[in-house]
Amino acid sequence: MAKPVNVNQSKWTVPVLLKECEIYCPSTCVAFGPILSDNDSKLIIAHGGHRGVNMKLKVFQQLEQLSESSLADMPTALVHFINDLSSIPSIAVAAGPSLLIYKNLKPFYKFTVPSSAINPTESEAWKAVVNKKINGDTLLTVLKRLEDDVAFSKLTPISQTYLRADKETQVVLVEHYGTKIANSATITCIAKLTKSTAEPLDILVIGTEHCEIFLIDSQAFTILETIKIGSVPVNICAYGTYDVDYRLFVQTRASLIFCMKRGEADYQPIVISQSMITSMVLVNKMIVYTTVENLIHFASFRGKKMNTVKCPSKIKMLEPFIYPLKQLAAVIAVFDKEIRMYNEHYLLDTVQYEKPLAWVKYGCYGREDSTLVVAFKDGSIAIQIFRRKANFDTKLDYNQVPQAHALKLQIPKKTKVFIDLTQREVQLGNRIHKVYQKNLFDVKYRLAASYLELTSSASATVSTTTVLPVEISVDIHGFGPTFRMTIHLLSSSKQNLYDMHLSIISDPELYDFDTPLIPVHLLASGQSYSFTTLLYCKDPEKAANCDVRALLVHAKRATPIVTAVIKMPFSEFPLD
Amino acid sequence: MSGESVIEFTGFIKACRLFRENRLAEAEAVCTNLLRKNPLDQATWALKMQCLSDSTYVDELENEDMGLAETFLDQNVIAPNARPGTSFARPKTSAKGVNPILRPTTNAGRPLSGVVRPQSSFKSGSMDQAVRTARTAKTARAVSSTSARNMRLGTASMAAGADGEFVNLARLNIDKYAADPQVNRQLFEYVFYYLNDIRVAHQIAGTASKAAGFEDYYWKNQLAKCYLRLGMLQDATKQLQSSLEQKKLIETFALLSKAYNRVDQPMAALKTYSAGLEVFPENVTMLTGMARVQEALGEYDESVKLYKRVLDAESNNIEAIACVATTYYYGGKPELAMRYYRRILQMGVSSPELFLNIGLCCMAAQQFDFALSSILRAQSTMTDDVAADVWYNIGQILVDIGDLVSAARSFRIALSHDPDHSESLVNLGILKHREGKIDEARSLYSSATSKNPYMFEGNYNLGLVSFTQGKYHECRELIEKALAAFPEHEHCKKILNHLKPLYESI
Repeated sequence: MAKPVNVNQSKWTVPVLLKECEIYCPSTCVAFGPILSDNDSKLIIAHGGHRGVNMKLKVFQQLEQLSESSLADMPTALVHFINDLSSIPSIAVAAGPSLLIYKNLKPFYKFTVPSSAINPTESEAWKAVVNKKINGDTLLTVLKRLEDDVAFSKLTPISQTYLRADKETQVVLVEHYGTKIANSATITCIAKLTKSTAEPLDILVIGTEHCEIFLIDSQAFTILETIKIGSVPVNICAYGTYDVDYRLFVQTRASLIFCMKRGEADYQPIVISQSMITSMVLVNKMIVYTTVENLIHFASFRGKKMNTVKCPSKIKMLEPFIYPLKQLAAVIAVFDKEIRMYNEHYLLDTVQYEKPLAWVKYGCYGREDSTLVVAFKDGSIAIQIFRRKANFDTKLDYNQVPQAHALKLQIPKKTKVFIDLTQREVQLGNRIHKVYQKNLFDVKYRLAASYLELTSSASATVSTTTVLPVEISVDIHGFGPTFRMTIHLLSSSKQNLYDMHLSIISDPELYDFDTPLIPVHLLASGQSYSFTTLLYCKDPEKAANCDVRALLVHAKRATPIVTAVIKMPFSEFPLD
Repeated sequence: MSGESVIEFTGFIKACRLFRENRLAEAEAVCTNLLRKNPLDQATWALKMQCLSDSTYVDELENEDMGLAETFLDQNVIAPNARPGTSFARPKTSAKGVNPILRPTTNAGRPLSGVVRPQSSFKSGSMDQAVRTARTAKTARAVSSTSARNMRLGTASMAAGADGEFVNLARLNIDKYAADPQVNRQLFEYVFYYLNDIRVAHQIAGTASKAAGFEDYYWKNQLAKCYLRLGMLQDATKQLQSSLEQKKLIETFALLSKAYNRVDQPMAALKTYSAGLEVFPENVTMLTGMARVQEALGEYDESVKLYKRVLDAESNNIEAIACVATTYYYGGKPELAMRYYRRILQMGVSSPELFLNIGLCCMAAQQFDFALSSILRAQSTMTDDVAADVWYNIGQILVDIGDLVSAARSFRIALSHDPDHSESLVNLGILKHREGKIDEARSLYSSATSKNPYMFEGNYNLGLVSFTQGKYHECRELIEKALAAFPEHEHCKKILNHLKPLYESI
């Protein structure tokens, strides 16, 4: 079913489908990692289900589902992390404003993002409505006024829902949530950061709708640091260790990428993209991000753009690919029915699928270091393994430009003579100009004189008058002493031309003509006419040749209309 | 002052001294007088023959004139479908990126060389084409099987025979004289160069070679020359190779290479030249020959390198200077080309072509004061055979200046001098096209292509006009012809790509 099209050259094994599974979730809700005591890396997926129904945390082992447990809220992201060196790792699922921590696949802890300050008017209004001092409609008007005053996004989630809900829901909302109104922001993204290389514990990094980023100690779930930025974070990539030096790359909804270093307080965006950034990953000390213009950008950690790939279609997401055994690193770009692997210079691989893709996840699954989990739009999931013998020896230039464009213009180097001549131009510019003008006049004068001679003698093959534009050309066939002369006439005048003659002239000592005067009764415009005559070389032994002229004449014109001058070839001796 | 008497030479001694001083006519007159007194004086007879043959001596190495029959009815070519680069007929593919727009081509579809030589007008294409186009007007090319030079040589004997022919070949006892080592060389040269009777010359050489016991390299070379003239190239090669085994001479190497070139074996010719270079290091004849072959194969870099070596050995070699200059000019360094042409001028050559080239170089190097004056000089000294080219170039310069009316006029004048000047026809067509006179432009382009079917510009422009007029079939044929001349041309390929779906949709 989901076979790649060209199996033989593929760097990946044939994909194998997971049994009986139908998964719908964003790519953020997927993780690999050991969660049970057997230390085998599992595939963990927070399945979104349908409209808040059937939300499950599913774990897969090999090709089968191992377990599943229900989720209370819609998951937005999932991360697998280590919070205790002595026991097994945990899973954190971000749902709404909370992090649900699972240990040994059992609910373990719930961490909720601290509430921000609530607008006083808003909280008073809610209090009033709960205490029945005002009714629902008044609340709505108050909230609407507030929306105009402070902005929709500054209100609490419950007020936001209230503003957008219908009458019945509003009543339910007041009944259920009116008493405990809080302003804890929804978690948008989650990432993990190792504490230090000696102590491989993870620090959780979460971004919220309130433009805040929290660094959370995963053991005690205390907030280590809070960072406020100017835009809503949607994706975080962490690099380094928390205790030594770390960098957080935060992609925001405003298409900015911020870089946060340890010990720095002022954050300026390092990448400001004109078009919307859709995905961002870190590969090989490079930030790789895509925009809606189907471009993949490779940028340094300082935000300097190193290279850009132009892709043929929309890029769904990026996934980092690292194969430490061969020190291979690349980025996997997911398209509708194919994935492509790029590094900062080349297109390395393309794998095609028969079904549209949803997301891919690369990592360690089971005991296999480099597994690619491919999820399709229809909910099925397939597993591929990077072949141990595969390498990236065949490289293709992406941005393949036509060769003519890639060629550099060969601009000759400036020679010393050239510089000397330029110097001369600077010094004697005035005189050069004068001489040039005089010579130009001379050239034009001589040209005019020659042209006058030409028009008065009409010895041209193309007529010079605009009244009678006729063209003549002559072919001579044969080796001699008998030649055949063919004269072609072509008139391009608007009217037909009548009553002309073709006259053929040469030295009578040398040549004899069959018909020295050929009548031309009609020359229709645009038609080619040909006339033929034989000519004999009288004495080939003399080995002389001379010009033969063919003139087109009209009785009422003093000069010929057109003339063809033919240099005759030497005649062969007659065959006897 | 009595004892000083002027020594007056008389008789045979006088003739000898005159001959030594290269006063051939006087020496011949003295000999004629002596022979009247004693017709059997062999020494005088031989000297007279020497005088006569020296007066019409042609360097056989440079005598490359080939008639129409030899060019096209050639059964000597060994491989009809040679690999690219090993034949003069297929140099295109190995011509490394030679762009016909940057370096214009001759009528035969070859890029221009620095000098005109008979070899450079090797014609590719069919005989039919040659018969039709070559003879419609003034071309330097000999069209019939008898070439112009041989014709002139043949007639020389008739003119000389005012009081009877000097040596009547029909009555001469060839076997006797040819075997006589005292006179046979003179007799051979007389017959070969003066009388131009190759068959008899061959007979003499054959007899002499036999008499010398097939040991004399001189006679082998002479036999080879006869064979070359007669078109018996295999025999010529055999003689020359045998001659090389006896004695290594520059002439022999050069003649052998020439024979190889005639059978379209440029690689063998190059090998022979390099073998010659081993014996005669930095020999100009060998180097020039190699350079010419490389140029004909389209290896311009190699060719120019060799010409530069020629210049190292002989700094006043005009052919080498001109070829290097041409390469510089088309390589975008007109100011250097100008220096080279100026050097030719300093060496005392002053032809209209040279002034024209200097003018064009000056124009390209922005030395406007000299540009136009040189061209004016070329125009005032031009002969009829270069008039068309001169006017064509004046037209080009006027186009550069921006005076299109005058440019069109000068192209017309060029056409009156040479109705076959296809470049002028094309450029005139372009000017008409600009004015919007499409039909006139069309007819000009089509006459240009009929006169020079290998021309890239004509085919391409006519193709473009056909394309805009919707005559797609015609357009495709023309564009394909243009692509044959310039396989890399991007616009041609684009047009073909445009046409392809139209054909497929039918």
